[in-house]
Amino acid sequence: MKNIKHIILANLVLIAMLVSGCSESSDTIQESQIDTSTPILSDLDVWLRSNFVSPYNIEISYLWGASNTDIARFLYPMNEGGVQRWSQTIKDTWIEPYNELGGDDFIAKITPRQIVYSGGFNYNPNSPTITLGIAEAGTRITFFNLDFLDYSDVNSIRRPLQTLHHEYAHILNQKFPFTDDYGLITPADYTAQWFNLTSQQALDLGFITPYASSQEGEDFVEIIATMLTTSKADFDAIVGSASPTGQAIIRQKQEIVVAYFQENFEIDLFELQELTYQALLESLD
Amino acid sequence: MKKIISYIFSLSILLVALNSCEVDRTESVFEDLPSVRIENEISELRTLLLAQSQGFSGVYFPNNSVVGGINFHMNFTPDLRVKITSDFKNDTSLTDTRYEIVTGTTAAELVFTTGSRHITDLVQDGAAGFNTFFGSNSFQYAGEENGVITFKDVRSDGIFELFPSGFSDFDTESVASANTTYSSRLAFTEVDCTTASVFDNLVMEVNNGGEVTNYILNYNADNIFFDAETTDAQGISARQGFGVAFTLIGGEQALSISPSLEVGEQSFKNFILDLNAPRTQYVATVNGVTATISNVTLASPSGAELNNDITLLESAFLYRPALGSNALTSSCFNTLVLDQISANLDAAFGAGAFTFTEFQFIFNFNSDACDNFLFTQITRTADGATFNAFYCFNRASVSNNRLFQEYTGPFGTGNGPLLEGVYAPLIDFFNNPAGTSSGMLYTNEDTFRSNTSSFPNISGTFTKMDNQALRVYGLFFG
Repeated sequence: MKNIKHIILANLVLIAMLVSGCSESSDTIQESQIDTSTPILSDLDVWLRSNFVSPYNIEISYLWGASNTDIARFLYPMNEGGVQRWSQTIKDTWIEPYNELGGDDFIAKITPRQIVYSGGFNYNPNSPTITLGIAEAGTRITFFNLDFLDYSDVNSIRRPLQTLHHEYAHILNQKFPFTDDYGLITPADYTAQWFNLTSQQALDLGFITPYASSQEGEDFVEIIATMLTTSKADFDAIVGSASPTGQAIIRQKQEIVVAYFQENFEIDLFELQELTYQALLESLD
Repeated sequence: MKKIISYIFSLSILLVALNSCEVDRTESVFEDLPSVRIENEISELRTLLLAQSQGFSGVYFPNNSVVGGINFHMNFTPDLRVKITSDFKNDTSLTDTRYEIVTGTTAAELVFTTGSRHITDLVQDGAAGFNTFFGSNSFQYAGEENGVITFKDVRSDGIFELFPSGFSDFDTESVASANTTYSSRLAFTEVDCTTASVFDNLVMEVNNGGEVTNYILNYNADNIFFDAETTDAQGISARQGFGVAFTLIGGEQALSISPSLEVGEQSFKNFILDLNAPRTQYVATVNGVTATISNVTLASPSGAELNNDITLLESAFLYRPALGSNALTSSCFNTLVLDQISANLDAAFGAGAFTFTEFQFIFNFNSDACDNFLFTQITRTADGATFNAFYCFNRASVSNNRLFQEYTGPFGTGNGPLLEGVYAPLIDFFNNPAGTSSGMLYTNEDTFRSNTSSFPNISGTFTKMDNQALRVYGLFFG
């Protein structure tokens, strides 16, 4: 019994040595490695903070280096001089119409948290195409070729806005998926070689744009993007130029899209179309 | 037994304890954490960039295996703005954009965060679509030595070195400097048609105490790049590429190459313009060894192909601008023949009224009855109507691998005589009488190719040997 006591005592001493003996480190909590200093803000930065960061929690990222993008692609940030006007344009043609119909905090609640501005074209390797915009994980939208906006040409402004509405619709779809029935309308005509279709061929097959034929998710958002960047009359004219079969298919798809907005957001898509198109016209010189 | 087990247990604990207390003898290569080192670099770089109130100058080679270097002048201010000019394009006016010094992957990075065209045109040429010069807007800080700050381009591994500008008025002197170096670059490819020869070749000659090594240089003005070829005593050829930058060194016009040319133990990088040389010449001298870049007139081809292609020549030789251009048509032929005909048309009929659309030469070696003739065509702008004219030569002949023929006059009484003066430069080009001229050199150039077209037709060139600045490239048909 006495021996057992000695052994227990010896083991306790050893454990104590184990716990305390190796403690050579005198590390303490050090200063943070994260730069928390206040950045130098230009007038433009202040404007962006009060128009995007504060009300909508959206960061407009227009200052960036090669490491912030796909380094294999030759991209560069937008010219500073065009940032405020383009930001105002997307606020007028996207944020305000949605908020007007969906509620003041519609965009603040469902929104990409970062919008990136790129000045040049994003050319796709081994493909005769350029990428107009990217939506990543529902949190970030990147616009390309913004240095080439021409506010005297409605098509020049319409194109990136179509990208915006397209990418934002993807984000809405991530929150509220659309019905599987949509993909059953033209399942056999989706193709990875969408860029070989002319606009007319796409319309005749029941796709509002050639890119809509790439897959059902793109098809769905292309209807939205096209509607929200054209007047009702223009949209009807586009649909009217399709073959009878194509027209019937596009209208069937449009019905599902309109119902999707009504059921999930209580937004009348036709009313939204009026607001966004009017704002597009007002954004021009 | 129990006692033995307890002792073994205690001994084990002791061993574990001793082993766990092993002192870590790993040596620290760096004194500070990586993040601290980068923070220090950021601070160091910021101090360096702001230390020069008149900014920096330097040459940026985005990718010296493909393209040459561009001169930059930059002036950084504490409010994170930077004035920039460069000589990449003719618009050398300053831009005022933003920069940041940020934490990069392994070092501090200088990032030009908003689009100065001087930077972005190298990334992607907006004016020319996707035509990249392999540039970047992010540069990793590599260090400072003797006032020279070195950066590495994070995308293409290009090198960008900045040194204090030495200007007293950055805004005006930087632009003036960029204009000078831009002009130097243009001057390098300017051709003086009074002295030029299509057999001129850029040569880089290295003379090491009489031991001469020659590099034939093919200069690509779009990429500002030399493709150099040398042949050793055994006849074995070797090729090497050099990025080129037309710059100023110590106030003198200079040409820098990257990478440096290594010959023996000598390394040549900077060549100074020799203002006394009769033709453009850049010279570098290192440890008494001289390297010279200059235009040298090489021997013309033998022209023996002419004898083999006589039958081919009896079909029609066609030059039509609409088929595209080929560098084998010399710039002086364009200037002194084609442009002059256009000017003559404008003078005769009003500016832009007619366009010179093509010519053909139908060679004949047997007849003096205008069967060996020049056919020309102009098109009226107003309605697209074409007007032809013919000019007669006596029979063509071949002597010592050269083609001879003599102009005898216009054919008929219509357009030929009317337009003879307009076409005088072209008639003169083909007028090479035996006995009083050196004739024309013909070369077979295989199938036709231009910047816009390629056809299976055999193509060839004709050079006027009495004015070796004039050479035309075309195809045979019929």
